[in-house]
Amino acid sequence: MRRKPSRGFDPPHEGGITQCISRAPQTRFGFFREDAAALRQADIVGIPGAAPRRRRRALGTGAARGASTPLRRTEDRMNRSLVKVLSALLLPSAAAFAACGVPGESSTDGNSAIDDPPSAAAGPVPDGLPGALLASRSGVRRMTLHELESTIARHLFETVSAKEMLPADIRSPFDNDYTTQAISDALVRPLEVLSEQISSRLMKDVVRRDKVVGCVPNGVDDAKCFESFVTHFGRLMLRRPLEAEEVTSYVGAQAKANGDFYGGVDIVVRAMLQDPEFLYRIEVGTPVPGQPALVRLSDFEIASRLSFLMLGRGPDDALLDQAAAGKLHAPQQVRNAAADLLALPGGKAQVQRFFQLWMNYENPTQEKKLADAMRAETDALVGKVVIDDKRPWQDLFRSTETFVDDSMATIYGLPLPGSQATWVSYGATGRKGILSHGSLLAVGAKFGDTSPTQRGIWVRKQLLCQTITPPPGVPVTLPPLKEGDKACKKERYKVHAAPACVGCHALSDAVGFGLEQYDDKGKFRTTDNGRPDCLVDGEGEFKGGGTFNGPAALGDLLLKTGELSTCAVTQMQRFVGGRTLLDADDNASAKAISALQPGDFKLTDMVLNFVSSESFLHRKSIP
Amino acid sequence: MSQHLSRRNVIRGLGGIAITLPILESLTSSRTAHAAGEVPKKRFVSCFAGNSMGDIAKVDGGGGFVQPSTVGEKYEITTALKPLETHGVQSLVGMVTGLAISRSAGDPGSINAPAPNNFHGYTLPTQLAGCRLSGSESAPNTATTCDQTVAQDLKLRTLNIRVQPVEYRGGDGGGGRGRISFAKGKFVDPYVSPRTLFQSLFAGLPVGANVAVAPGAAAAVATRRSILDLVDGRTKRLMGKVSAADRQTLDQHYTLLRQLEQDVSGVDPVGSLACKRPGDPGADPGGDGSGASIGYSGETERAKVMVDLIALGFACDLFQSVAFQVTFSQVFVSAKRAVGIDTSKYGDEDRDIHEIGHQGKYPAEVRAQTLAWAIDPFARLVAKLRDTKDPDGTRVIDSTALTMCFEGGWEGDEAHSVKNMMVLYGGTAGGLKPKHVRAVGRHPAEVIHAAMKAVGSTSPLGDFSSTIEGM
Repeated sequence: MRRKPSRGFDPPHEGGITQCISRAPQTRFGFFREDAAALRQADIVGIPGAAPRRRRRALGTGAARGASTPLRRTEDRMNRSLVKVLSALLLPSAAAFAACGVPGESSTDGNSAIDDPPSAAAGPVPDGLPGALLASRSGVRRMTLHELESTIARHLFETVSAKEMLPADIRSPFDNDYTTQAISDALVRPLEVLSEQISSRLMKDVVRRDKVVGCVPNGVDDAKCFESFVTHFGRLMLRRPLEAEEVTSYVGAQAKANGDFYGGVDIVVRAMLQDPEFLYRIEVGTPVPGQPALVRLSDFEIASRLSFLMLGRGPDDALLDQAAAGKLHAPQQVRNAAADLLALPGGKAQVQRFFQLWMNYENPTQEKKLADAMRAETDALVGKVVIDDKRPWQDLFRSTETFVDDSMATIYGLPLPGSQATWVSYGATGRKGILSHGSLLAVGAKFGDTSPTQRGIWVRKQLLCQTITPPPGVPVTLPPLKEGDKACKKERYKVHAAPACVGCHALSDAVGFGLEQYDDKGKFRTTDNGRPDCLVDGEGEFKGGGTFNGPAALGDLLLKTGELSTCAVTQMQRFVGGRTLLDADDNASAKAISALQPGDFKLTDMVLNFVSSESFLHRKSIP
Repeated sequence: MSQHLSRRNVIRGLGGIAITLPILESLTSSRTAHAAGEVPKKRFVSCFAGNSMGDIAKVDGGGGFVQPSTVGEKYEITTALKPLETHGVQSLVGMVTGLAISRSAGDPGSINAPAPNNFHGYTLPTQLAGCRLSGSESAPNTATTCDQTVAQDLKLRTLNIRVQPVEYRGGDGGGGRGRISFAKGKFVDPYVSPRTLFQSLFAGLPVGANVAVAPGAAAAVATRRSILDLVDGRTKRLMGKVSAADRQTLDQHYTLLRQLEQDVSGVDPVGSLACKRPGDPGADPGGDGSGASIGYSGETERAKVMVDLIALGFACDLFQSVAFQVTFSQVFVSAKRAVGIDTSKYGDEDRDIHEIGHQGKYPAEVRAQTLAWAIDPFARLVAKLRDTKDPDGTRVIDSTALTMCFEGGWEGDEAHSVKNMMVLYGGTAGGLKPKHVRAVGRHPAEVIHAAMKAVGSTSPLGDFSSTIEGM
């Protein structure tokens, strides 16, 4: 099938530029060079423009799909056997199987469901979402420290700072890339210490302890209360109902506590905090017949995926109840649930976190108070545009107002808001949108000043998903300021005009110099820092896109390229899949989502499209 | 599960109930965890700091603030090498200078990549694993660093620690710049908190021969064992339900859990009475978060605690091969607060160590002072190991080989250089002879490999089977 090429930014074909820039996943025409095979496959499974989704009638009762009961397991086995028999009879090859569109359009674990109607907040699942065959490869994912802290806060009602004890997560730019996660002594042993500390504090705090236990024992040997605690707390921590033998195993802790009820609770809490199924997100799922390595996630695994993606923590009772009731199985059900999660305060915070990591303003490189004010400003804009006002996310680049406290207002030359940060108009300052924020203008600062090169690289890499790779063997150095050096900054950067350097630096520096009238805190300036004799004109060039002056104009240019929107989908694909290096299927999946949103779009719609695709409900295991 | 509780287990169960003794006092005894008369194991330390040299030797036309002008045992103590004098370890520390890394793709241990793009991440694996790098990858897929290679060869236990807790300037984990240990391309995360290191590895050590076991300690140990038994049993069962790749991940976790459980269940080592628990170091020095443009989190104090714990860990035989990272590649640590440099003299409120390495307005002597700050923990560790005795009466330093390499060399005014590099080495294991050796154009990995061989490691270090002669 043919798709209309997206408007793409034309990569320059001059000098060394083509050596150093790559545009994965897209070519200039908006296709994926390395993904041709995947696209062909995607076409086969009917991804964009496929036949309308079929509402599939339940083979079974459709009730309590996730519940682990003997009856339920028997039913599952029967349904799986039926699918296998039908597959063997009707689908002699994987291609034929795919051509039927089954993996891409329905449950494949023998639990096809009557889908729910769309909720008002979610809207219907659109046609053309990526199918199951485009599911991401994924492996065991350790909770990020942020996820660990948030989950502990939710289930144990305590704010802990795990990052002071456990190894930090690598940002690339997201913190959840499981391929960068290491398993080491520095994780396992401190986690044991941390679990002991958390439980010890819990045991001393009777109110919190009783909330976690959920019942009041009528004696030290109240087995019923203890089992109730194990069953409920275990479901929260392991994100699924415990099997009977697991309950027995944990209930055995009570005996080991020598008749001390809360000693038994202590053991369970510490063990659960170290349990591999708590620490790691493990998805077993159900194998899809005829598709080696492809599995359909269980409803509880979907609950986990959804909760970590939408809230940055493990699921709570409400979501697990939905899974238990079979309400997290079909795409529309998942979409409806996701929309509900987005409406929670945690949903908004998670969207803000996505932007913090993507645009690299989680920790602006300023002293803490100012950094906090910068982050608050940008978080506020993201929250308002994306969640509160439900506007297209591209409006982040068009906003004419901003949320500032006195420190930011001073930097921007705006009237001081007084005791509390507030929304103010940019007025006639020439600023517009998120690119005028101090948080983003602080990116890449070095030598006590801005770095046009680093700013340019950030725009290319983070906002447009390009990769700038200088040709090997080029011994270029940065131009540091030396004693007695009288050259202005722009003059010093002319060393980058050397033939071996200009290819890449023309792409980065020219963009960065267009932001030079804003210093590393975002303050407007017309001369180099401490050099009134060095005028800064703020003229920049976006190769292939035109010239510009200042962040407002750069925002307009980026919006025109269309690549900004495509990159947003790519970045979301990374965040959803927990992997920075996307493979062909990931790129094809992102492409399919992009195709549904050709112009401006709501970021929340994009997220809902991701989670209600069959690709989200499946995973490919790593060979 | 055995119900036997050794005295050591009982005391380990005490966990954080530490008797507050100054760490140094607890290290003074000559008795260790080894059986009396037992030949001590070899020990290996791979140390790294993210500084460049900042200068070249006088003989090469430089200021001579880093590399000595004289070779041999009685080499000149330069500004950068002052800590060797301060800690009295010149006779135990040598260095090889004039080292270089090739930029030709076919050469052993070469870097076929542009500079400075990601320069800071390139030299680390090239030196510590002796591997070749190209493209934009800073951590090769299959390489193994020297600390891991030595541990595999000699069946030693490892410890990986980093003094600088966060990268600053918006960074956090640091990727390849913040981790100096990996096996077959898989990174090993370091401990970054002295307090957590203490709580995880040292809080359970015996407090001394005459200290009564606290009431309830046996129960605490039993509880801990019960929990670990439950967790590792569940981990093992889970491994049977997942795919092969996932099983591999869980298996790593399981192996570490088993090791922890075995430690808790371990028996008292003979002669362990002097392997005493150190005093609780208390809360980690507070400081700047990852967003600080120029950060300081008390790295100077953190380093002192960590050095003490390494020496104690050797004495107690808790680990034998150590990766000890002082700073990240590209050091964003405050030169003013960490090193005490008066940056106002140069018109700056503050500057990080990396930028001082770049900026011509900071003279070579100042750049060398930042290097001395990074070398100080290394010198301090050598002194500690000199003063700690094995059961047979020998010094721990005599069964130890240490190396310390740095991010870059110096060439003209170029901080991002792979020429004129230097590697320090220390200890006398295997007949190492600490002195200044000039080896112009040789690879830093060859120095590290020589130290590895000195402790009995038989494997090459990446591309290198050769060593530097005369060490």
